[in-house]
Amino acid sequence: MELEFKDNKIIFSKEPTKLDNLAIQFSKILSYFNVKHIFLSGYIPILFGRNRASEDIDVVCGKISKEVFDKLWIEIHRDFDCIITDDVDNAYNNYLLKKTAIRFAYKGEFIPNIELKFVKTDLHKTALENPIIVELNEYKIPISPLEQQIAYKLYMTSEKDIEDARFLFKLFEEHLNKEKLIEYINILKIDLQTAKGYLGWSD
Amino acid sequence: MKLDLKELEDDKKRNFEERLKFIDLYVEWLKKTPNSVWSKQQKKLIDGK
Repeated sequence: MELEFKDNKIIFSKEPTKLDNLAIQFSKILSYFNVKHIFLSGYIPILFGRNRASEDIDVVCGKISKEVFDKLWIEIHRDFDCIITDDVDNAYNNYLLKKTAIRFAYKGEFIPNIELKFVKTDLHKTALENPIIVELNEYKIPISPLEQQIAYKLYMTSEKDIEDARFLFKLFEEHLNKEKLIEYINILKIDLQTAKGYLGWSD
Repeated sequence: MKLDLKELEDDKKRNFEERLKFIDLYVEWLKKTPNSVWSKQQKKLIDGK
C-alpha cells in the first residue's frame, strides 16, 4: 500500500469504489458552498481498504443557514434525491435543526446513501476543527482524526465496530499519536487495557 | 432441542477472536500490496462487479 503522509494530509490513489465516488461527489458539492464537513465512521476503514459493505456514508457538517441550505439542496438534487423527505423546509427545520440526519441517494436508488447531519457533539466539533485531508486520486476528502475514530469505534462496542477499530489501528499504528488516542479512550471512559486488547496494541 | 448456550457463547467468542487475527493478516497483506492490486479486489467486492 502506498500512502504519503504530509502534515495533516494522507495522499494516495486507488481504484475508486461506488462508495468512494459517492463521497467524492458529495464532498465536492459541500466544498463548493464552503460548507465545513468531515466524513467519519464506517466509511473511513473502507476508504483505506477494509473489505466490507456499507449502506451509508456518514457526513457531519457545520451548521449552515437556511439560505445556503436552499442553494445546496438544489445543487444536490441534480444527481441525488433526499430519501427522507422531498421538502426542503422539512429537511432543514424538522431534521437538521433537530439534530436528526437526512439521507441522499443517487436518483432512483436507495443505497448507498449519504447520511448528513449538523455537528452535534463535542467530538464532532473537535473533528471539524482538526480534520485530516485525504487526497484520494487528487480529490480532497476531509475525515475525522484517526485517533478519534478508533476510540469512538471501541466505544460503539459492536463486533463490527471493534473490527473497524482494529483495522485502522493496525494500518496506521506507526503514524498515530498514541497520547491522543489514550486521551480519547479516557474521555470515552473505555478501559485502557480492554481497548489495548481489542486493538492488539502491545507496548 | 436442547442447546448448550455456554458452548455457543464460547464459539461466538472464538469466532470474533479469529476475525480480529484475520484483520491483522489482512492489514499485513495490504501494507505490502500495491494500491492498484488491493483496490481492484476491494472494488470487485464492494461494487459487486
